[in-house]
Amino acid sequence: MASESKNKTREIQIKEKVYTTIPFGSQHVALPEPIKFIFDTENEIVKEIKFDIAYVHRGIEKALTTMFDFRKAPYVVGRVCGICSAAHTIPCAVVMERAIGIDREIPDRAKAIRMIALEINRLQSHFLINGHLAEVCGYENVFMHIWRDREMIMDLADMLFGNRVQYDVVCVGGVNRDIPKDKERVLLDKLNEIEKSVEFMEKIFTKDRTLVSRLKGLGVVSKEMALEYGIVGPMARASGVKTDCRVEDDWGLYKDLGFEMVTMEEGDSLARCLVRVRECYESIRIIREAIKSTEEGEISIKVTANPKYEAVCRNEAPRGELFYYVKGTGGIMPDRVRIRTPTLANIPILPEVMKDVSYNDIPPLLMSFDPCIACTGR
Amino acid sequence: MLKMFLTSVLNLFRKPATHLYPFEPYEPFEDYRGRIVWNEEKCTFCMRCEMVCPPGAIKIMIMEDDTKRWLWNPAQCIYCGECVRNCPFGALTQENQYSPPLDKSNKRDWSEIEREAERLKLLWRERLRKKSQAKKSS
Amino acid sequence: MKELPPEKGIRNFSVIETTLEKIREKIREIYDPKKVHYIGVDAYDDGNKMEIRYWFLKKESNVVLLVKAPFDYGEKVPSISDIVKPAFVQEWEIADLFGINIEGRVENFFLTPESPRAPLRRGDKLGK
Repeated sequence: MASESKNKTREIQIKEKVYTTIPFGSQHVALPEPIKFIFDTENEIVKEIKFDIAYVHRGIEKALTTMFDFRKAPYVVGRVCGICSAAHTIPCAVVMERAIGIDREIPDRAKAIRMIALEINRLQSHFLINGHLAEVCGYENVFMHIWRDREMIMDLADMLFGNRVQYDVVCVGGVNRDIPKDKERVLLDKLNEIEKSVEFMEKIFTKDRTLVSRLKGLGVVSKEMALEYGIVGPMARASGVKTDCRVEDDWGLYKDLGFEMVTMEEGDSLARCLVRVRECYESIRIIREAIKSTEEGEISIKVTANPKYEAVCRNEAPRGELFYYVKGTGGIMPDRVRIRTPTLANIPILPEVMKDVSYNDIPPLLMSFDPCIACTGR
Repeated sequence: MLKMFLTSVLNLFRKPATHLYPFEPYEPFEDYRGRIVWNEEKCTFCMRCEMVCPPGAIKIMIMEDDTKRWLWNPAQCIYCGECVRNCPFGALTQENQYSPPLDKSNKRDWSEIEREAERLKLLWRERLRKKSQAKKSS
Repeated sequence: MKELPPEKGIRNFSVIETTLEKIREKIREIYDPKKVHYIGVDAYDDGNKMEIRYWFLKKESNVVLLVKAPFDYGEKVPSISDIVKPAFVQEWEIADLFGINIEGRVENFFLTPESPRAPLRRGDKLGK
């Protein structure tokens, strides 16, 4: 009799599934930025995920419609996020030009310099996240190597645009400063060095046993799932979805320079990481081509009118598709600005992927998603 | 294994990747966007720099005796160089040196300055209006 | 991106206007994950009326598509997150920013509890 009742209570316990709740964030060693996850785990396996991103909203959309006129807007949106500063300033300037109606008159040299700024931005962002991924996996040596080589790219940006992080080179109507001949030569020399360090990075992430066995098969996103959740950027490309706003939108010269998309089929953390590494080669090639294809010359046109149309711009930020919408009314400030950042599109899939993953695999999985919470908060 | 040993021995004699700052002076790049320098002789106080400055780090104060002061807040400045490009008289230049650190000697209450500048500008406009009225009546 | 002739002040996207009752059916009609990429949710407030906006991209023709529906302040807005799976995050975001009553929203998802309520709302202000 007694044993029967004991069995019953055990059954009830099993049916109810007692979960352990583990908070992850908003301050955590694996996270450079504040985002909060609450994991309900069964032993070590994560079963349910809730998340909260309400920490870093700065009201930039509102500021663009009430405080800053449209000429200052590119400088303001550069401060949305430090890592993808150029990726934000370019679509903002382009969408303002489209709203004014002068986007066809932008000189080719300005477009080329914008592309160079964006690709340097992408290089340093990919170096940053791959180094960080290695660190989260417990491989600090690789982290230090990659970040040492990232310093070269930061110095390159410092030399070309005058600042390491905030390039501030793009303005409405073109760009602010040209790249003279002697700097072009230094840039091309440095690119060879950077290419070598990308080769080193590719060697590590394909051959090293520690990293490969840690990342392979972790957090697989299938192609169907990627399409269903509408994910963007390197994440989507790692799952075999052919999407890249550099060829889909036409603010730059990417189509003329023969852009090649990097895609992989596996869809796991390692594939996401390798897509980023291989995109670095493509970025380097584009910078070289952009310098070769245009000569020093006119870099900006005079802007005399105010934005009066509604327009959109899609740009490929290091983390994926960045969407800008502007509604101009003819006044000095636009009526509405909408910024859809890439992480906002990649967040909805997180709970799906993190389900049934061991808790200790969460930091590398999250880092392979490359979340940028400052962008998301705006 | 041998390769690893060689690398670690060679690393003992290699130069460090970081910059040994206090011992080696750090030189910014030639075109680094550093501090803004104002040339009083060329300036006509047209207020263009104040208008184009994205963060509002430049303020022009018009005193009650019609003397004018140009003020710049290095802590609020984003060093974009927009004021330098927009100055029609070349009174502003951008050096490649970092702006000095803020301490007690050069720190000012910027919000107080902003409020004061706004107040003085209102007074100045009032004076201009009175002057033009006086001209019209005479 | 395909350039469309500017009409009614719109530069490079096409617009479908519907009503709040029909918006779910309209999106069910348009949306197919293989052919249409979901971009985002947006809202607009002109001081008298609100608008909910859904952005899509037609992959084949490379055209950005806007589906919008006007509604009055305080009206309950249906959610589309069962048709378009990832829509819930941005729906909750604009629900916080505009104070829109969207089905299944989570309070204080995008703004902290101490921050001002509905900062982007123009008319019919909510209290602090």
